[in-house]
Amino acid sequence: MRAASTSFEASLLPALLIGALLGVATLTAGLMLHERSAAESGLGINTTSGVTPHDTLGAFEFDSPAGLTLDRIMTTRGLPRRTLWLGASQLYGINDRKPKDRTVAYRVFSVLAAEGVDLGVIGLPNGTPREHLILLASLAPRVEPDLLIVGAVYDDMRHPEIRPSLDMAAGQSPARDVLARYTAGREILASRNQPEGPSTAQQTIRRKESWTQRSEAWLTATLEDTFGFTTARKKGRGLVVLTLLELRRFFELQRFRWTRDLSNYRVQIQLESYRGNLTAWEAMLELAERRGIAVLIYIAPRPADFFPYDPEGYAAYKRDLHRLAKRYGARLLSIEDAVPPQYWGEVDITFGFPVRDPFHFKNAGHELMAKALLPEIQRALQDGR
Amino acid sequence: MIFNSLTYLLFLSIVVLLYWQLPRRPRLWLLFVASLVFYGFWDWAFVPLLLFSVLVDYTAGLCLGRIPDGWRRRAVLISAVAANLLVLGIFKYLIFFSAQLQGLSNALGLFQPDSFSVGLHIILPLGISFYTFQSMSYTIDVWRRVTQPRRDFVLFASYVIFFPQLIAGPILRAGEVIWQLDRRPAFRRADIAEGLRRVGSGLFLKCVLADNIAPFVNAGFAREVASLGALDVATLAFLFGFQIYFDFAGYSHIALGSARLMGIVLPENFAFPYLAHSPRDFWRRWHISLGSWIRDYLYLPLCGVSGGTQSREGLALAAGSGPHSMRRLAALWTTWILMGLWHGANWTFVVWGLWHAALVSLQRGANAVVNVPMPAFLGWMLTLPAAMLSWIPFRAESLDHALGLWSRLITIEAWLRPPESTGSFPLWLSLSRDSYYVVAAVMVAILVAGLIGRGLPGQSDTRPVWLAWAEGALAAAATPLIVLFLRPVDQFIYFQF
Repeated sequence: MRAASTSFEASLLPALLIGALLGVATLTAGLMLHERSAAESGLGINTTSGVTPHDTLGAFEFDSPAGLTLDRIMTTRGLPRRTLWLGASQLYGINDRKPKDRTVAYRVFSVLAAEGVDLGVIGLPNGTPREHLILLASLAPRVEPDLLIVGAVYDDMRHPEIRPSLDMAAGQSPARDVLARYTAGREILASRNQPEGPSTAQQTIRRKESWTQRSEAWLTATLEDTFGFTTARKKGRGLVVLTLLELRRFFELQRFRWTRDLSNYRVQIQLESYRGNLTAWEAMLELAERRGIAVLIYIAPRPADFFPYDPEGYAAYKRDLHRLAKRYGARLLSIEDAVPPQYWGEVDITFGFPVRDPFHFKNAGHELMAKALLPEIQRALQDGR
Repeated sequence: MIFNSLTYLLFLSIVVLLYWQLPRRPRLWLLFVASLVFYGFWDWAFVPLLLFSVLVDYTAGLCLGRIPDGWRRRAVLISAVAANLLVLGIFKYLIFFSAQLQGLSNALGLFQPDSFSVGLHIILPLGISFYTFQSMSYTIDVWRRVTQPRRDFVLFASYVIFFPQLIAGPILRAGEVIWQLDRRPAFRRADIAEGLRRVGSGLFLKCVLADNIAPFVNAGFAREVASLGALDVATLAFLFGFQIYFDFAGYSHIALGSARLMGIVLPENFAFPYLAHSPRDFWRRWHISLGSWIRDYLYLPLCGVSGGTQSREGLALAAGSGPHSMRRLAALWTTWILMGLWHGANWTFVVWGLWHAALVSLQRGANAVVNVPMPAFLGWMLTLPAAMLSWIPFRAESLDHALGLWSRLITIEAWLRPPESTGSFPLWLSLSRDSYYVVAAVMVAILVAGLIGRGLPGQSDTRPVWLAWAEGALAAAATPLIVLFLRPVDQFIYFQF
């Protein structure tokens, strides 16, 4: 018995070390060999944040500030001209996905990249103009795009909130300095300075930032610069989540057949949030004008059969967009009817429970949207501002 | 500093390397300074408070060692305990009790509504409940003459602020640890192996499991109560039960492992609590160090037993035997209310404590009436949901929220079709379906792990060598996941206590 104990204790340390090293080696090899992109994965609307769907590094993003590092990825690609595309989850959500399906963002990127134009896409779920303004303020000085493409979704004018990651980004340079030049930007900055009265527990948690946060940021940045550590880990986390999703799909065999109507969740568009977002639209266009960036606004495809917009409000919205586009010399393209009803989602099981998903296309819808957009994007790039 | 960070792993590596190189005295200084740095990484402003706590009990210990039995000795004890509780009271409970007082005075019309609004913005120092209890237990043990007073300040301070357990325990007794800090430990590869195994297990539980269950919990508890069916509420209770278990057990594993890397053995804090077959058994397996602290320094004294489990009577009461009396029942309920308040200054925690008091009382009552032990499986089937449901008030935003969630379980419509449910026939489940999958998968995993654990030899000197390589295989599977998910994104839940 004593011999067994000695053997166990003597073997444990080498066994653990060899195991851990093997694990890390396998992970490293797996990440190097696995080149699937988020577009191929068809993560659909379960992806919770800004993504770069066609990222050639193959990194999937599940952290909300992801889009804010877009400039790094575009720098790596090194294409001579740049386009920035701000939209919503429509850009990357694929319903009823098959392995060869591609998102609209991926399709447009593939064509433009062959012409020497890079395309950075941020599909922000329910992204509002106020949030797009923060993204633009943060990215424009670093990306310096030739063309800005922004999707206009009437439904998203109802959101007054700004998600925490972008709220944080708004307070950081260069976004803060850029935002301070515009009325909408100043409103965003003012709203994030509201005094808070957290509980003691919340205070404890907040106070734990400081040296730990700083040292962690420094270590992470150093490892990223040296080994691409953070990017690789993000990609790995994406692969894990993707594997779980595919496993779930495999086990379920899509047997769920009952659906839930998402239209229950919709609320009326309030005038106040509409006005706030319209001011943000104006600030985006003014910002682009000042920096000499050409702008293409497209009125996004909508599933008219599922929930018709309030006709008066929608007409007013389009009038406002026309007025702003004219004032700031932006191109305005309506592709609202570009994707017929049969190409929209029917049942989406990536939402949590199977839902009737009226917000995202099937693969064919992505193809139609890309066809509708591409010529206008190419013209805009050719003509410039 | 938090355990689930690259910073801590780097810090721990440096400390462990230095620790094994230094002789006794510099080694103690290393632990002392490292612990201060560890704490200071959160906020240096609170280091003096930490040292004040240490100094109070250090001085009290010295005085108690010199003064003979009598009122002066008792006065020293009371002063030290009062000083500790005063610090705890100010930083943890002042806002809560002033708010209660304000509410009461408003209700009675005694003062103007703003009488107590003194603009209290008190930061809750990290780990204050843990280090205060630990430090206080030393003074009480010296008073009881269970432990010797320590003259070496650095040694004593290193015991109180020993960084692996400073923020969230386990709460150590002086007798368990000081001698280990004091001696010159012999370097053993087995300690390093066990330490690494524990740190790895802890990081896996925290970063891979707890942090990935958290979004389901947060989403579920953020929903309107009326939209949740009874099964949803039960699922949420289980989800949070798993999250807090992995979170806290993960922390404890890292604490034990970090200490073990320095040859120091800390007491276990968890022993498969969700396999408990009675409420009492649950508390022998969950947060063991707090349970035994509360028993020895609160419950038994309230029962009239002053010597803790050192006395025969205390031992009998701790084992659940001994005479039943109203005093014992009152002690039990008082203990649980205070146990709840220890976790947080909020009525939700008091309700959580009362729930457990009721469970233990129920068990005692049942044992008194039916003097036949319940089959273990049946006991487990009853204990598990009861323990899980206790987490509802623990996690709820407010008392109303907790009661609302609980009430869904006894509402018929919540079992049939909740009017505001977004779920579908036949179960009307409203949460993300992954929530239910996670609960099922984790429950199975815990059962399997528990059964495997039961079948294995407990002592390492009786374990076969193939088990070491099985551990290596687990490390191969777990390490990549730890590397991917190690992010200081979520604090350990128990940090706020």
